[in-house]
Amino acid sequence: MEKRPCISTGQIFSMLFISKIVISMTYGSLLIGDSDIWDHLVSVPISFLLTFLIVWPIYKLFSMDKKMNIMDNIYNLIGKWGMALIFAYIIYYLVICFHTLAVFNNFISNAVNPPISITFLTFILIICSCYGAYKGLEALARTSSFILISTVFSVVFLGVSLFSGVEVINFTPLMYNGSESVKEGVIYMISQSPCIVALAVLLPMGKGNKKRGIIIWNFLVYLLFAMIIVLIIGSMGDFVYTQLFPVYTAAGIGKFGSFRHLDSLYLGVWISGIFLKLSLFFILASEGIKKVFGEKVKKISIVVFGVMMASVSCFPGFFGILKTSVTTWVLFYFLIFLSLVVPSVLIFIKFFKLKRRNNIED
Amino acid sequence: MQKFKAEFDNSADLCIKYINVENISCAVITLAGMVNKDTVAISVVNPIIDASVKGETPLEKFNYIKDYIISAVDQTQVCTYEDAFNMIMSGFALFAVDGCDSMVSLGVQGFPIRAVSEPSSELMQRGSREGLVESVNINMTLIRKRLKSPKLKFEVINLGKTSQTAVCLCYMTNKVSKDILEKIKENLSKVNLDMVIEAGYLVPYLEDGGDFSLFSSVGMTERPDTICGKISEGRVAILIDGTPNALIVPYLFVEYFQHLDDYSMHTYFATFTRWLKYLAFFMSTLLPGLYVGISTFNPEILPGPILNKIALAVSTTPFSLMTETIFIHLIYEIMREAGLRIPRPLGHAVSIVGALVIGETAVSSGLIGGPTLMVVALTAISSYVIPNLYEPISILKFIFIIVGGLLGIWGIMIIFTAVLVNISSKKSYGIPFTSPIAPFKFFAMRDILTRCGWSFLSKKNIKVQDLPGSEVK
Amino acid sequence: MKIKKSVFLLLFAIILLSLSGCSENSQLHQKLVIQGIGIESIENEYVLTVQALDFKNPSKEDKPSTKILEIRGNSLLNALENISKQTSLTPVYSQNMIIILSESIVKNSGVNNFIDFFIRHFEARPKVKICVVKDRASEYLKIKSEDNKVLTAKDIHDLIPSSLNSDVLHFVSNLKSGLSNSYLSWINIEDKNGLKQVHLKGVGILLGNNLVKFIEKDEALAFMVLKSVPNFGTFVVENKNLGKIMCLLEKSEVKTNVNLEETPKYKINLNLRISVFSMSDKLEFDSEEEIKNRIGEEFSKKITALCSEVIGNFLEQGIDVFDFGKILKNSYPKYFKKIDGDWKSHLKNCKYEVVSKVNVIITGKEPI
Repeated sequence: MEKRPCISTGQIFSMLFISKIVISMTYGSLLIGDSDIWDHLVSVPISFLLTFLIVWPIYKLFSMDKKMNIMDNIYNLIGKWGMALIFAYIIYYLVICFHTLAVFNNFISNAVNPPISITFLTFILIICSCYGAYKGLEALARTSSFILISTVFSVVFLGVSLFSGVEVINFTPLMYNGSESVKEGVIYMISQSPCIVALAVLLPMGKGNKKRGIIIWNFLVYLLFAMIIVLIIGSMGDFVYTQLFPVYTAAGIGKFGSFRHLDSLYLGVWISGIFLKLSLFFILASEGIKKVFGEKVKKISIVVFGVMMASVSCFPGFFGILKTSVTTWVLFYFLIFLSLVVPSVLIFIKFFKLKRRNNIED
Repeated sequence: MQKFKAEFDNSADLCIKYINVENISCAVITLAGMVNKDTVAISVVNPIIDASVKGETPLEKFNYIKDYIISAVDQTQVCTYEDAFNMIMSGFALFAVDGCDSMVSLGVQGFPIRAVSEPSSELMQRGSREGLVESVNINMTLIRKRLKSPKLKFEVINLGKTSQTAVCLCYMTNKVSKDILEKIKENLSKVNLDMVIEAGYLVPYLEDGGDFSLFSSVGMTERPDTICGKISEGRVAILIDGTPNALIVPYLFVEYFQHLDDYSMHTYFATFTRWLKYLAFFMSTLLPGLYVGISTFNPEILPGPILNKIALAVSTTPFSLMTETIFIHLIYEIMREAGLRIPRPLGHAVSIVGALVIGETAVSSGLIGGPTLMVVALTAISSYVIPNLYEPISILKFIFIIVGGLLGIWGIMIIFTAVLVNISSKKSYGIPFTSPIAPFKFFAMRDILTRCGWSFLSKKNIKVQDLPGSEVK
Repeated sequence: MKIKKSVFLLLFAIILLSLSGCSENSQLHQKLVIQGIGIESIENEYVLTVQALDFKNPSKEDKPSTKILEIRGNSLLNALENISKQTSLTPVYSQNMIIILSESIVKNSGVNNFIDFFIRHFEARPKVKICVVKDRASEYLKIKSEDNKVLTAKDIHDLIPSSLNSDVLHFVSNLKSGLSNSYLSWINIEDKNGLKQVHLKGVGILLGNNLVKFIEKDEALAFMVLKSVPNFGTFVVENKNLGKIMCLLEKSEVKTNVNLEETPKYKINLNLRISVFSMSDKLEFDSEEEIKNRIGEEFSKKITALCSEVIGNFLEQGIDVFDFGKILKNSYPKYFKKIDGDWKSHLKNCKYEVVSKVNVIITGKEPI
């Protein structure tokens, strides 16, 4: 068996936590449309529980053979015909890279609008992310520790700075206009959890208690989400609905003593997170390529992915796809297929094969 | 003797003293200046001349003289010309007897050496004033007298095809990881240099992994006490003859911020200075870049009065902020380099020119803005806090100035993360360069985030190979 | 190696091509760092008065040197675009501290015509203070103070207490909520001994998109009490036994509850702290405690009456500036859902009661 990078469970989940946080920080009308943000507070516990349900087949498959990731399982159980499924995973990881770039592009052009070429900035981001992916998972995992520390400090700092501005009167009754927004919130939160599919590849690489890791990670992710909702609604009221990226706006109004305009702090942490997420999903996609074409092609594939993403970035019109609600649904179904359906089928086949082998031995 | 004369091509410093002892021709071969003439006369030549030698054959006479007449303590039998050349060039005297196929080397070195003095680049407020010198033997003594343990081992190998420099591995047999030691020896065996003149020559060979990185995973020190501290944690020190610096491997990123002075200060103050060093590192690396990036692209971050001052300064200068900052940093680097190389008496002249040209004239003539000058000064001062990191810092700050000037803080953050990846990807002999922060070990934070008291630090000695993420045992 | 070289060359070419985008950048002194904006409408044109930092004529004193620009346009956006055309400088809005609107523009054309820019522009800060003036907005940004220096936007910004929530964030939040009415702080120029001074005079109230009324004096005092804004003005309490007492509101805590009977009944609890700075020293009371109690009672009566009157007037006119709608919605969502679309017409039927508790501090006893 080939040598796999060995990282701790904590590092895996810190990478996934950051990957999730960067999307949570861009939470707003661009990604959720006209949905009621305050009602999403109800979506948080529902999504929290649903995540466990969706993760379960992946975890179960992993616990049946702790050395094999989902691609190894597909190859072993289905054989050559399983290549199509491996490609499905590769495509999904690349779609997530594209989605992340789209969020980056939309955020920078709408919320920051710098007097520099956004395409150029995107290229630099892609090049650096490819470098991160090229350096491998271990390097990325260690980098995530540093980013996590700064992220946690920044989030706490932003939270505290906004807390004093929270006005209770802004907390209107939940589900006042029905449960539609709650449903939309759940779909949004689950569709923006590609980390679940990432776990399918990452779990065998980690050392440590994965079950505890999943529980803590999931809890913290949704706790943070709930905090974000409470803070932005509490401090901005109906102003939230006028903003494309309310979390960023909230960071701008927060003040902590003489520290003001904390949006720069937000930007710093966010860009590092986007870098990490892109690199991570490049690596995950290249793991699939390795399974299909072998170790040698793996590193080249990262460059190819980078060129692909850079080519797409030349046409910023593509990034407008985020504004359509179809994107959320496509991501949702894709995620359900890869994290729920495929692992469940694999568990069934594995279970069936084991049983047959036992019968023959008997 | 013909062979010696031929090899040295009758070099002026080759001295061959022929002595006739009881009809047998003997010779004492030395290199002028490498041996102590008095010692040679008293313990080698005079006893041979005065002695009556027993024995029939030349070999018996040779053995008799060696064992009973020559009083030099350090004697080694030499059987090949290669060894003989090595010995003679290391300051040994060679004694040969006509008709014998071997010689004896005699330890009568007497070349001039610099006295042990305070290391100039690693000053300490409290603690020893002794620093390494160029002679590897004296350096070994300096270490041995601090670490009186039989477990301390010195292993000498010669490197450099021509220079044949003595390189001494120094470690504690009960602390060092065998894997690390093997790997170091393997790396040193790959040294194919003709000359090993200085410790820096070996650094690229000792860097593990071979990936490009601005940060080195080979440490350097001038202090024997630092070496003792490092080898007691399982590291290996490499002493190179002719260099008053020792190399230390494995060397981790956090070690750049640790100084021996930290351990002789109060814990609270040592913790404070350590945080100062972290802050100084970030300031010296990022401050000029952030200054350019924020002032050019993100003025909203700056408070009104500061923004006003910077804008006023920028409006009076002919260059853009990025050009101005690069320009003044370059001038500073040129002056620093000049200050290092010029003879000491001229140093004052450089300081005066620097202060007048940059500090006074450039600002008053409107070429450079006052805030820019202040940022450069602050950056320069900060970089002196961690002198070992000066090289990567000086390059990184230029990178960040350019990135800040072209891409603002967004670009700085992207490149900063890339630098983080670069540091994190590095390994030093199987140990992650960023350990014990990433991978994280809480217990190790006693000497990273804080500098705990000795009662706590001495509870458990963490060996370098025990750090999290280590692949070696 | 060939692949590596070609990839490197490709990346290099892409970066070089993209670098052309960097030319948009301008240096700090080529930017117009806006400190305050005045907006008014004259002869069907938008007139923008901009106070910006002046980098060409640096001030030798603490205050930064500023310059005033007057720009016109068919719309606000057009006027804003004209800033860079006229000055060849890139405007920076992130340092803007105040937006001054003239009465004419808020009353006639409504705020919707221009507020969108301050909500959506990436440099606009939600916490920028916003106020209304009865005369020309430009005058306020040009006015000179005692030392013959132009009053800076920061000076005007500091006049408006943060607790009044007269900023873009709260203004827009109320505007978008559809329940509460928006309001703006109202500043005015007064001539005192030949010297013009700007001060916070009261509040301008909006009904929907347009300004409908200004409140000042006692009405404004009561408004400030109900909005927990301390130190707005001097309260004068007169009584036979106590004489004339002048005091300042130091702290105001307002708690509003609603009970649903046939119609919503609001109970407004005021917890106030006043400091008496002027009163007669010949009062015939046994102890200072008794004086405090009497002053407290009198003040309580006065403030309760004032607040009740102000609330009554607002409810009568269908104006909800004290978030009664939001409170009812949060407390009785089912009931509120029935009247949601027609909340403003239900305001008239709402009952209310003001209860106050006053804590008195006596700081001076000079005879008047």
